Amino acid sequence: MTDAIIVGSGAGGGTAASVLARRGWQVTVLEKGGHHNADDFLPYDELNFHTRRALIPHAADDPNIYLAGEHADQPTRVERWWTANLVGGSTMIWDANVPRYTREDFEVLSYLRDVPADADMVNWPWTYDEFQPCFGRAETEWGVSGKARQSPAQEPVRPGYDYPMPPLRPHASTQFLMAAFDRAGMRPYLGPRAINSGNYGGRPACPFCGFNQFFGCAVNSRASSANTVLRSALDTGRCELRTGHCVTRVVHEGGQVRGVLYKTEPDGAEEFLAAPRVFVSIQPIESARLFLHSQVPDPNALVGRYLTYHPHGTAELTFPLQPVWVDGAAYQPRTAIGSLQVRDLYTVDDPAAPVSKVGKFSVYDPYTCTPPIRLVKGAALGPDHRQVWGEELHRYLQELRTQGGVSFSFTGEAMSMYDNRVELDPEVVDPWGVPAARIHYRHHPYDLAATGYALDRVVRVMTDAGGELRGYEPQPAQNPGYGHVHGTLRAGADPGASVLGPDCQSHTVSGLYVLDTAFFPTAGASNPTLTLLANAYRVCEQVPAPA
Amino acid sequence: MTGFLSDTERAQVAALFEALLPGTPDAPGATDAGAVDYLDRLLGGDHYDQLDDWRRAYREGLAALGAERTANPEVAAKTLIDLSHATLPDWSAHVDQHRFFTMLRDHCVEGCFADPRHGGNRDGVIWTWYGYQQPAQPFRRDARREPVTRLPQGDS
Repeated sequence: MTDAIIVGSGAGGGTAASVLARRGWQVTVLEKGGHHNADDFLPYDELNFHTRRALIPHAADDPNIYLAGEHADQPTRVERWWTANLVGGSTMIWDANVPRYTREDFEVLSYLRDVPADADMVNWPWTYDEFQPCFGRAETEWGVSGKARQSPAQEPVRPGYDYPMPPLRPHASTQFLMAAFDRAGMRPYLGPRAINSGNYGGRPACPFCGFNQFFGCAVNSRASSANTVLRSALDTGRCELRTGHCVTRVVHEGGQVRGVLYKTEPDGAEEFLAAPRVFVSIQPIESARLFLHSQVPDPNALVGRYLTYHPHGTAELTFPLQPVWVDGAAYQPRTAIGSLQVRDLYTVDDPAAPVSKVGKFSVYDPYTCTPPIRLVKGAALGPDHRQVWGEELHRYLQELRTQGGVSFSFTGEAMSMYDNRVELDPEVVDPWGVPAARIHYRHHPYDLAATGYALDRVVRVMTDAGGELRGYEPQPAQNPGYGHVHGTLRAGADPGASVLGPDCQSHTVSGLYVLDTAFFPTAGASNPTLTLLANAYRVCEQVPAPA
Repeated sequence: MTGFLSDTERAQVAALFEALLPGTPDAPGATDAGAVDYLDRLLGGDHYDQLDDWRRAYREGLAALGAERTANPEVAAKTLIDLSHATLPDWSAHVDQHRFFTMLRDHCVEGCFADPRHGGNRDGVIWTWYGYQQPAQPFRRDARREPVTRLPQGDS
């Protein structure tokens, strides 16, 4: 019998397979999707991979069902664009933007001085210091490029530590932007990415093709579960990877996990695979759905609760007096994505500010790292001047080609609320016959205030530097789904107030572990995957071996 | 081309698309890109979730617009202003005006800026003008036959 079943071969599943197999366990990874190799991702056809989401389940036959509160009588089918069912999971199509969560996220109550009465915020049951070695291990085994100690606003690292590779080549706008932020007392820095800036882990440096999120990496310079941890797991000879295996239920008896039921054909019969340990890592909404469908005992009605999406917002500006950053460039897009990070507003210690725990920005050059269909569909000449066309579209395109520009993408803290939740839909089933996820979600007004505050701060810095605002998209209260998704199976020390223990094991079914971001007690305010990875290393090194 | 649109509908869409991205002496437009060919092939295909909605919207929407309001790119531009503000009179279709405008604009952008393999962006004319290269090109010269990493097959 296998020592452990791992459900999902993505960020958490691949890491678990690697750690456990290297500890000598015999593990079986069950992946719903199939193998994709690097050459399957060429050509970089934006219409196929981005516009039509070729690698992602479609809303027509495999949706989430969204209820927005005030539209509760009108459930709508929404796409889950952040889920990819293939070997390597969503790390095959991710942005690889991998900041650490920090003390401000782990001990949120020490920094959020104005917790709204209707929010249910809690400190995490671990400290940043406990996670720190695991962050370093994740950065080393996945291959993260970056540079420590560039900015006082940056994520702290232990003395003497640095990322295994230097940062990716900066955008040509970097000097100008750093000078502008410096005048405002803010210190942007080149952010960490799980993208190779040199040869690392048997994989080449990024050639700066410009196609990132939603695209597979055709040269494996962007790290994925498949080209890092899963590969090392398979190299041990103790990891079996089974593709086309959709786990429909976790089997448990008397508070002990017994294995899983799976299907290999949508219309086929459920088959049983036994194991004394089951590790689930299939993204939070899916994990909650699996817990609910498996009837994992839930005495306090907490399964599926405290779902969080990070509030997101974007702003794009153009600088009429600045020549385009890469003058004379023959072809676009052509830079690696997201060089600068602005993290000076992670917390705001200003009584005059409406919020105290805010978030961070990834900074892009819209001209050199946005593929064309997405760029032109989003063309705007002002906050209330979207969807431009005709002569105005030509003006936008001309500006972009001749003037320097910048775009900001905000990731912010989200208030946890009991009513934001995942349930099983009473009517809609997925292709495998499992009830679809029915999601209730509305952002707390705090999230919207924080997003607006942060966007306005950076827009002011940029307009002071001569910028003119073009696109401006703050977070609305309704959110039909976002890639930064967490909660649903909150971890905590108190079994009365959490679904998982501090070891990410179910309080009610022993041997059942969850490694995706479902365990996050609160949302934090950074791209979540590195923290997921660090936790997977922590959990899987400590989990006792089966008797 | 085995498409979905009638000759009349093709002419209507061509005028609307040219108004959305007009050709100028310095820049190619939707007509140069053959964006309507992209749309016709899309609607005549069978592989996309929203196809039935799009087919219905184009059939009803174009009939409601009529030939006169789409006779050429100049009048089509006036029609688009109304559609984008949802203020077009005599609109009897069961289609939201602003959604119809958004659909037209999205498909025009796709027909101009997508890979020519999908039927628009004829000969890559828009990419050549704006400076995008054929996406596979960075790897074409030294393309390998073998993938960089091949995972062992796990089924056993």
